[in-house]
Amino acid sequence: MYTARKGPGRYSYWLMLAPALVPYLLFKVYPFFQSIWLSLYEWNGIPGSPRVWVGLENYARFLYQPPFSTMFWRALRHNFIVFGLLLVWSTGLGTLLAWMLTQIRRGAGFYKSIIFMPNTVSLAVTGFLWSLMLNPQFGAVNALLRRVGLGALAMPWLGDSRLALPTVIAVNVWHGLGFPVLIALSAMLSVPRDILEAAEVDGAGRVAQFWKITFPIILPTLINLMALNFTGAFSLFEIVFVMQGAEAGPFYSTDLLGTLFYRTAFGGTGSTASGMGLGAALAVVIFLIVIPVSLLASRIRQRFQVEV
Amino acid sequence: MSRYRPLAALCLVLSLLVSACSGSPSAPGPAPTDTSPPPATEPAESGAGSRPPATVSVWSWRVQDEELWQKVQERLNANGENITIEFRGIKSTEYDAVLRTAMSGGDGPDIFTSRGGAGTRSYAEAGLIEPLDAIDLSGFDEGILQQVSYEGQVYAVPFAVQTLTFFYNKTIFEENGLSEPKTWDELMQIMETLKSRGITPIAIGGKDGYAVCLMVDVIGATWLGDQWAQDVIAGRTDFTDPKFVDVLAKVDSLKQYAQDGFLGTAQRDARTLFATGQTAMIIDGIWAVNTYYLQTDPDLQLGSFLAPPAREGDPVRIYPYVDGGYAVNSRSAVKEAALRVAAYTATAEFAQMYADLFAEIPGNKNVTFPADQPMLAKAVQQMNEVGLKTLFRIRSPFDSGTPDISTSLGANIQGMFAGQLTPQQAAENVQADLASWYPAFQK
Repeated sequence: MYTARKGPGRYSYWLMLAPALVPYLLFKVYPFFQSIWLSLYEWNGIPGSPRVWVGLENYARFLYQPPFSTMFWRALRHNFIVFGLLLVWSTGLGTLLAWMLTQIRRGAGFYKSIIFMPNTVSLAVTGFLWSLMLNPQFGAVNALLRRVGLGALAMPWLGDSRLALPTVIAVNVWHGLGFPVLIALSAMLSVPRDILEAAEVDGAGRVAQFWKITFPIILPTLINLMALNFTGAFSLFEIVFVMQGAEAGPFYSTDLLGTLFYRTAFGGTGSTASGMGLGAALAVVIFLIVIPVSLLASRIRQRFQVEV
Repeated sequence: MSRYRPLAALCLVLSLLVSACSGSPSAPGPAPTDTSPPPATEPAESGAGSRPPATVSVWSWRVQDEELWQKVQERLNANGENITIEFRGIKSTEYDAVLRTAMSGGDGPDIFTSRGGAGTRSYAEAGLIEPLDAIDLSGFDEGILQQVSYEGQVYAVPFAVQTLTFFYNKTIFEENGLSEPKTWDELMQIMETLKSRGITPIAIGGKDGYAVCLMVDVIGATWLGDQWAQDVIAGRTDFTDPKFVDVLAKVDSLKQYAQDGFLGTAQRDARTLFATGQTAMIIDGIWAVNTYYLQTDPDLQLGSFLAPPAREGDPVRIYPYVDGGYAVNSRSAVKEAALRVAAYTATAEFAQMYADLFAEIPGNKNVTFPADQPMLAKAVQQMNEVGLKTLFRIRSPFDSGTPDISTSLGANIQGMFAGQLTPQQAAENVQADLASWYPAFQK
């Protein structure tokens, strides 16, 4: 290996790595350690203001001291609900759509562009447009429901605490659905034709072909998508912020760890208070939740790898 | 192992480098309180074109202020200044975070609107904004300057005092033979009458936490009063007090008169409903009159009343608060020019311009209110005669910790509106949130 070489040139590969390594250390590793350090202090985030050492107090407040613990566990529960919704709506529906695309003979390209289109608009714009459409008085969604005789289903979508979270996530999925569809589709296209043809000759129907052949082969890809759903669910912030604001209303019903972090670190509605230390502690906790699951997912994926 | 040594060395060097970089700006920290403010704060008229051109950036959560600052620039330039003002409006709910981040990074604006009370104090305490000793502030009441001061020095020029009330559509009231209610029961009667005639009585922006808090301010002003506010601040009572629970119950009782799906309505949309005559009333701030209602319908016949008391003739109160002030960034590259702009905002001329433009109450009291702004004249009179002196919600001491009263109260009222909480439970939640940090509640 490299160590066998002699002379100053033996370390030259570090120089080659530097362009990637330096920004990574500077913008990922350093802020991470800084936020761990910050999480041990109480500080309002205004430079020049006093920082008070509080040790692990910030963590204790989130884990078992109300009102922060109430907010934390509620937000965590919402994050898991989001994960569940993403599994079904993003990966599940995405796979179904991808499979349907492989089954049609004409127009697949057209449908692919249609499905992928929302992805080209920024999420902030998407959220804004949908909140206009979901407005209970002037919105297009309720107007449409009333027009076709489903007036009973015309709800204050973003104002009902049971509907708000699924509604926001549905918009998020609508925006990003093109991605899982493309990934699942490309995995399906990598399934060798001859196996499928052989199955067809043996009399296997389309559904049987999917479950017995396609599904096991694309499973590692799906597990990847699910792992992305998990990290996606735990880093979700933008769409809730755009549609429901930093308070993640109504009555915290769309509050996620991301919005809770924003509120604690930067302050709520017109509030003059903020807790950078508290926010940093929450950021570290989020990190500790996401990393192990991501590692686990890559382990699981390896177990289901099929050689074709 | 040895081949990881260079990596470790690289990490070490980098971390030293980074900590050196990040340490320097905050470490010794210039103490701007000692440095005497630059001499260039004499009235702008003496400028006479000799000053170098300067671009002064101004940030505000009042996105509607663009026109105001254009006029300020015109006036300043007419006075011989060579100043270009670069205005940036940032959505109110995001303003504080954006500003704090920019100020931390050292690239904040030259002038920014800082919130009254703790909002100004925390920047002053950190030495990030200039004391404004050299500016003539004789046009301002002591009580108003108090809300933008820190350790006896004024740090921002207050631009507006806001008041909160019920607004109603006079045309709808007249058509239905209704008049301003003198008691709470009369108000309920009006609501019932309108509802029975198929008119939506009141618009509520239930989706916005800050909007539902305004309802507590308006009703609480009359029903809680100064004494209660002083007691709660001192910790002699708290938010689970039956008087406060009763205010929440009154807020809750209004929801049956709100528009369909009001929980999903943003305050912006509630204002549209009111301004287009689709509802008869709304609870809002005086700033909404020109900025929203009259923009939507210039001929709208507006009236206003304060939350009525239990018995006719009992005192009514209005909730007034200093919206904010113009603060000068102490690290500004064009500090002298920024201070001259701030000095201009302290003049009666500016206050008059502000009053004419927005029909709001400016900080400087040397203003004549335009005759065609009856709402404004009424608000000023109400503020002087029945204004609360001690505040219990926005700009109160409960605003300066995490979780703050506005976030907590807004969310819990939404829970109450949705039927998930009783007024008692909502009050208990608010109390628990505040007790987690408010010193007088921690016993």
